[in-house]
Amino acid sequence: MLVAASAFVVALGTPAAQNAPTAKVTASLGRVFGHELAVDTVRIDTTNVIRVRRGDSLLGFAQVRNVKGKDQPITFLVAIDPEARLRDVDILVYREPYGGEVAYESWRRQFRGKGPGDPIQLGRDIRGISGATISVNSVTDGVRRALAELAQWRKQGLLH
Amino acid sequence: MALTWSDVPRPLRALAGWLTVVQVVGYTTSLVFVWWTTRLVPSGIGAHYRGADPAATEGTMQFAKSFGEMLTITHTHLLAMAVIFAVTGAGVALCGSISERWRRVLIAEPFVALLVSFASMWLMRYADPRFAWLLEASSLVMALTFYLQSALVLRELRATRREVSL
Repeated sequence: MLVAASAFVVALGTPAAQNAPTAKVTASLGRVFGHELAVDTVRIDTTNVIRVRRGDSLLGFAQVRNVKGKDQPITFLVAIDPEARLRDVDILVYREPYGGEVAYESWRRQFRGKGPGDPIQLGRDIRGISGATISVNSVTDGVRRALAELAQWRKQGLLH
Repeated sequence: MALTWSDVPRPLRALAGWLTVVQVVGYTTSLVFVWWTTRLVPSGIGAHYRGADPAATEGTMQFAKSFGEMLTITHTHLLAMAVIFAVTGAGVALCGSISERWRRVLIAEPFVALLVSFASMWLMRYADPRFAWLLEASSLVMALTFYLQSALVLRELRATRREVSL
């Protein structure tokens, strides 16, 4: 069960996250970090980052972002552990008629454990999906940028 | 009296000739695309529509086509290819040098092959992957008929041009 779920109201106040239903974010955090979570938000410049704890232990951070697919935004959650390694990526809202395979577990699991020093590039350490090239490129680029920023903020002590 | 290409005005014959050439280029490009995505083998066709285990394959992942994607592929191809074969069929119908019986066979065959191909595509996706063989066979017959139709139309147009100039 998530404690302090009302914190999502703040977390979802960012423009990038406005189209992600709170219930989906809650469910996604539960899938990524497990249960008995306590969450709050950390504001950095104009954006919010979700901080996830269990008891006194810091489990990591998560952020809801949008990237542009072929025509529509793809809303996804990116989660890192305290060492700034990718814990998981979750597709929260997919709006295009094609390319929804980016939400499949077997594709998303490629991101787990990657750090800011990894390429995270299609064709190098990320495999593509037949028929979903644009969405694969968009999400891969979005995850790489999100990880770089989260790792940088963590290094700067803005996320603690 | 049966209408043949020699009864058709010259500008319309020119239109038919160029349309046939462009259709041949377009059809060939679509075959190259199918080769690119399936390697034109039943196992590749099966993987394209039914997906392949990501852990057992390398490179680009292939997932099973959704019901919506199957519907989209079916209606766009059926409607577009019906128009292509209506054009080539009309061309064959005007070929006076071929017997009427063969013209009727050549006109009907691609439409039958179209229906068999897309029925086998659905059966392969949802019933048994071995229907990929039927899909491959019917698509092959359809392609061969298309090239034969196009060759006959171009040959007839060329012969008609010679007749007129004589």
